[in-house]
Amino acid sequence: MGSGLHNKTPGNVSQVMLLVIAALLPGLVVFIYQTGWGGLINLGIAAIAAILFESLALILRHKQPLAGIKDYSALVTGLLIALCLPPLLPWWITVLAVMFAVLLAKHCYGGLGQNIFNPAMAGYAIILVSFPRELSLWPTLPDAFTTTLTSAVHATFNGGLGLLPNWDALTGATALDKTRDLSLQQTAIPMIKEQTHGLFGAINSEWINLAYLVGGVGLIAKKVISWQIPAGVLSGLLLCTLLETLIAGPTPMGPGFHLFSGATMLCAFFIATDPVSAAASNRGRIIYGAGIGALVFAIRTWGSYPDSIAFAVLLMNCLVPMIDRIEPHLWRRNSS
Amino acid sequence: MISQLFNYKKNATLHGGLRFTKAASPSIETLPTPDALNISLEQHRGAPAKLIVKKGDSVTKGQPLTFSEDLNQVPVHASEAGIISSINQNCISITTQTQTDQRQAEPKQTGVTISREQLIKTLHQCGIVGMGGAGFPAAKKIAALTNKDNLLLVNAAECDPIIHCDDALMQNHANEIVLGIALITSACDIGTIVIGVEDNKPESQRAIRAALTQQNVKAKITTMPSVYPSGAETILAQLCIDHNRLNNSFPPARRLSEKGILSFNVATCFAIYQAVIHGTPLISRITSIVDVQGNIRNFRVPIGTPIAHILKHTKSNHTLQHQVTTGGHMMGTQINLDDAIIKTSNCIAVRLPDSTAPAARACIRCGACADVCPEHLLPQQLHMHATHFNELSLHQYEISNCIECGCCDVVCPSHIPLTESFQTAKQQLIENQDAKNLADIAKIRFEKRQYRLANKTELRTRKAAIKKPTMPDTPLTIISSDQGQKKKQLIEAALKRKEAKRKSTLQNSDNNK
Repeated sequence: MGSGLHNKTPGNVSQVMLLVIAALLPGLVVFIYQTGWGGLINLGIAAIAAILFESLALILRHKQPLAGIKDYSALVTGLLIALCLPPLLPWWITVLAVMFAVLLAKHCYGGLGQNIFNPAMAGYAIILVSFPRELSLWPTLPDAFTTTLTSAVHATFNGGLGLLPNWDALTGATALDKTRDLSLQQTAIPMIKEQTHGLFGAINSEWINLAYLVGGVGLIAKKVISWQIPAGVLSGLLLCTLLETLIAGPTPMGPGFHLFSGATMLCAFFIATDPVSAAASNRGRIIYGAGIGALVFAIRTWGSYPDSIAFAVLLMNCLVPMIDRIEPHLWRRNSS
Repeated sequence: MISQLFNYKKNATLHGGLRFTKAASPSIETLPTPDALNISLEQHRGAPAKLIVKKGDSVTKGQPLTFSEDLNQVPVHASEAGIISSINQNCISITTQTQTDQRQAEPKQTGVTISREQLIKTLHQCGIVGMGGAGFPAAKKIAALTNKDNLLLVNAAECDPIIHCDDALMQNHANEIVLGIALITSACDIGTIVIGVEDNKPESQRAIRAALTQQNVKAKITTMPSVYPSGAETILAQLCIDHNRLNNSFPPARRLSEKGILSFNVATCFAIYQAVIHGTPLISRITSIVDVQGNIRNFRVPIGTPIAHILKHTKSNHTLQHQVTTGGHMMGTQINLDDAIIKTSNCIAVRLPDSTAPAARACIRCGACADVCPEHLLPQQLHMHATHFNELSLHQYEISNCIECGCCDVVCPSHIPLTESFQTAKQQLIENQDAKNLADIAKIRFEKRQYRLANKTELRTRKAAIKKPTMPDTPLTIISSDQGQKKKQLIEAALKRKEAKRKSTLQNSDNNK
């Protein structure tokens, strides 16, 4: 006669992170297809750098380096940074971003669980403000491995795309960049739309966003992330877009464009959902997500950067302690 | 097997909680009478009652060992006949003797009507306490009930995965339980009876239903999903009782008795039946014994049976490495082999300490704990404030509502012992509150004393002020000046005398030279 108790598959931090990586796979496939060898090299550099810096930090803090790497959180940080970077970026910029992310944003605050800022976005924001030119040089997408491995390696380790002799011919602005430039030049809205809009979102980036959405929904189904943050981000962004359309009439960026361009879906499902730097309660998470959505819209529309995920997330990270503090006052269990 | 973690699934009706599966035989076995019994004086929530026996006394089965009129101080009884071998601070040891008597089976009361006062008195003197685990005095529970048209909530959920004693009791003694329920109903002003049973005990449900029809008692049986911790009193009430009834009070009452709800475990109902009808005090209970292999068996054991005796006779093959716990898998606490069965021991489990349990890591704020918390709390925030002991925030996040079920511990991906930190914080809060109360009392006492002293001096000055005008002013000054002159003269005379004396001694000394 047995007690009939089932063994539980222990849900630990490593498993959570592995599931996140698994959910990133569809996005990774599209990313690698679109960026070719350049993107793949970026991913490799970022992943290796993240693991090395994580071990360095753990050794400096007199902790077990192996145990720390095994939770894969550093790997996730590295991958998320690489997914934001343009291919053929000089290798040291990638390393710098990862270094800031792991050493400064994560371990200076006390390691996993203690950081107040999203490490990946902190690292990305630092290089975004330090090297704006390098980060805005996107080659024409999709690359689909038309650039050979040797030339990709050559470009990455010899000063990046900007130092290639014919770089001007190779670059092609992202849809968000192009929209920004064209609307600054007072181009007619239908013309902007023709050049930047794809089937349902921004040209090219709609597919990668769709892939992130698929992976993200999988994460929600697996209960790795809660639905509140993605719902908050997307509805915050959508609401602002609709308000803008209602007040100011047709705009170059419609709701579909906002949702399926840049890194919207990556942010909603993989970046903003980092539990450490997000609000604690479910209701607080909706507020936190909606704040990110609204900030993304504001910076895209009126800011001087084409995409704004990093800044929106970091700004809302600053507000998390306040959201957590006011949250218990907002609702009482026995208020019914 | 037990030491490993379980498969769990979230559930829709109850917020949070964990789903387990379990199976055990419903039979109730007995053990040989132990040679010695260690009856603890503190088997309930409250202070122990006064001793009425001394060392060397011989006691019969069921004889009270302590006595008190206070409902907080529940008496204990001798579970077997024997001689009291020793009494120390909170434990009476009895060397048992085989005796062939027993005042047995003479139903004291045949009808099922009893007055409320009588019931309270009987339950108190028979030492009945809540047998689900908390050990709250049953008499006090009934006495605290002030409302009219009360609701009796019978807790038959038994949600812990390794506790099985209530299930066994219901299958074997459904009639007695129902009679106990009928007794409470007749004595207290009870309008509705609700019995909450988990859906994994169909036999128990059938037995109770049959007994209800047989005894003609009208009660509603609520089937609940078998989700831990549905058997916790507040959770059970939320699951079984109409929402309006539960939340109609203003300000919101937390205690069930304030809402006119009387809640008893099935084992307590059985004990109440035994006490009222047979006059048997609470001297034995059914306990689930879980051995090293994880097998669950139910035994009827006398209160005070040493754990070592039970383990020896159930052949549990335990070694020194094994831990003995009481209270079930989720809320179990470790006990020693020298400890004995008390009125609330629903489960004794032997298991290997979990040496493979991973070390706790930093909280990643994932919120898995909040998803399983049946009380809708935010364990991760509570944990943060508990580690820093931030008193205000602990109250804000309602730490007092934590029922310490341990669900959050099981799901935490960082393996943080959350419940432990809440228990420590709660204890600290209670201590601080006690210290504050004492300080407040001292302050009030001090202020009262200051007030008294101030009053006294004021009274004195006022009296003096009243007296003064009656005395004439002028003679006073005369007297005083007179006295002054007299004093002066006296001093001068003394000085003269001294001078004369000095001179004479000087002359004398000169003469001597």
